Amino acid sequence: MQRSATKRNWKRPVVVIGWIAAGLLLSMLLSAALGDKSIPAETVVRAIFGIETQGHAIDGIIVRDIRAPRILTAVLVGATLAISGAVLQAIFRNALADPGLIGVSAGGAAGAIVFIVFGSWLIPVSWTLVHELGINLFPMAGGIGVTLFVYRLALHEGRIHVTTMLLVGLAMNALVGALIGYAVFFSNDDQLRDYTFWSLGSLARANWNMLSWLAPIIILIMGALLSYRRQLNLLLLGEYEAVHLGLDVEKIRRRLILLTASGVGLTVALCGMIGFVGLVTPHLCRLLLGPDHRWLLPASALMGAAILVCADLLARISIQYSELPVGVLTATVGAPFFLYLIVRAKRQTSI
Amino acid sequence: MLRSDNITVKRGNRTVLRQLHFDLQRGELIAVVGPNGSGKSTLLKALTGELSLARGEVELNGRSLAEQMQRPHAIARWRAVLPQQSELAFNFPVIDVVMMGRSPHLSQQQPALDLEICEAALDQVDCLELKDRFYQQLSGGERQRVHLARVLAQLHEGLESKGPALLFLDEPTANLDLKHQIQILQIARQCADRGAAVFLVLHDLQQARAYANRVLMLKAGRSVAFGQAASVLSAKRIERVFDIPVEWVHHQGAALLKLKHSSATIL
Repeated sequence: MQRSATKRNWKRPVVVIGWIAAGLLLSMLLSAALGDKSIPAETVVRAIFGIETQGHAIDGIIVRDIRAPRILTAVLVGATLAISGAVLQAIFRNALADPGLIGVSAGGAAGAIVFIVFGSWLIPVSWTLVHELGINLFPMAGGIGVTLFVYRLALHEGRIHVTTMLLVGLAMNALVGALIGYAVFFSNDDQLRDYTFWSLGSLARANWNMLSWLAPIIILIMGALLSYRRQLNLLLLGEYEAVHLGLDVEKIRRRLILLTASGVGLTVALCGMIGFVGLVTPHLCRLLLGPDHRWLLPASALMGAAILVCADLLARISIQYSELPVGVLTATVGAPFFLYLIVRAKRQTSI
Repeated sequence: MLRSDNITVKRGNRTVLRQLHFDLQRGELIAVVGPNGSGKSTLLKALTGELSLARGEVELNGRSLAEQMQRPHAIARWRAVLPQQSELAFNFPVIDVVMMGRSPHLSQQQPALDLEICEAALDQVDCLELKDRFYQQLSGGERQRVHLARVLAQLHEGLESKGPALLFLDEPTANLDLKHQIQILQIARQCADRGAAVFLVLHDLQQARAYANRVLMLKAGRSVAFGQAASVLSAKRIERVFDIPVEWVHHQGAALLKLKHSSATIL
């Protein structure tokens, strides 16, 4: 009986995570094959392994140099957003926490805008390295700052006040909206395009160069977050309960906020604000696997990746010879879902 | 094992506990009683490190609590706290909730053994059949017992090998029916008999008298009396502190608290 219990605990999650991983691979292949120019599956597979297909050299280039980096970026960004959502929901002990809603993304965007507007005054254009560094560090710092701020305000005697959390997030989003407004007012046409891109979110800028340094950072962050999977379960019991079970809550929470906010800030710097992936994905995974973070975190990462790859594919193919910003798509699906969660929470009177 | 050295606790400008001085030994159960708002739960929070002290010091095994709280993992191996109410944000199976109590020990044990310990703890609180149910589907009383099982699983080593074990219970009977009130108090008593130090916040004076070795009576944040249960809980003192005229009647070895000039018994 005891053995079957332990066995049951392992078998189902592994199978479910396997299916999610398979779904991710399938969506990646599909996304590589479909687009303004459809490419046969065989050519796609060959291109991935670096084999030229006779007479389809251009197809190979499209797959390798345009679609592959974009798909991989979608994987990394989707995984980061989803796993950050899951972690934030554990820290805030509430399923309504989402990097976009509580203002992490807004903080990231604010950091990016502040750097673009003021950074170019302070730093000579010739210092490319400083620019590269700044455009990534500022959104990270913005994300971290806002998250800590929201957390401090929402914390009351060791418990999170959910309404405060959501309202402060709302205020942060409004503040960043104003900031963007000022920036738009003073910007030229080129900068204007950039701001629009940030507020809507898009993966169109993805390339191998960007991936080469994004991937290691994201993978490090992801690995670090995964190592806290057990501690996150204890956090759900409550601040003090976790301390009494031996957790250095203050320290762990600081680290988790640092990790998630820098991850989200980074994705915002690169792809703008892509909302609701971090809200919807952990919820779906919880339906499949339950709330245990040992399974929830890897499952969320994989599913978030799959969702963003699919959303990006839809964004690319829904309008011919043009594309929708992917953030518009995720918000179209995510916002009603958020409403549904609120209504459900109201019924359970737990909000 | 636990020593409260003249502790004073403030909330804002208000002093909620004033110069409390007492100690808790191994194998002893201390019950804290007092009217509403007398600072019972505040005291428990101060002793477990949840509230910081304005003055005085709490000592665990002769060393300052504040200092030891820097490394909560070491304390969690032998000190457990059952709060008045625990929430759980997401819906875990009951056995997983109890398994959380094993987390301070996980590095040195095997999962199969931990599972065995948790099932035994669930059995002890009469909840083994709830093992695979989901936490949020349980009633308030069932949840409270599941958390007691979690706490017992956490202290398993201390209770088995007669090593150190310190248990805090904050009004553990609040949500429970009579049968399970008695059951929880008996479990707390057993823990003390097996060498643990047990600190219990309790409403019911008869239960305090029946189960505690010593009783600490609080009123408005001050200690009114501290000592042997029967002598602290004298009818005269209860009358003065709780502002209600009572007398003890003895019936077949049991002490019952009764309203004076009335046939009604206070339960």
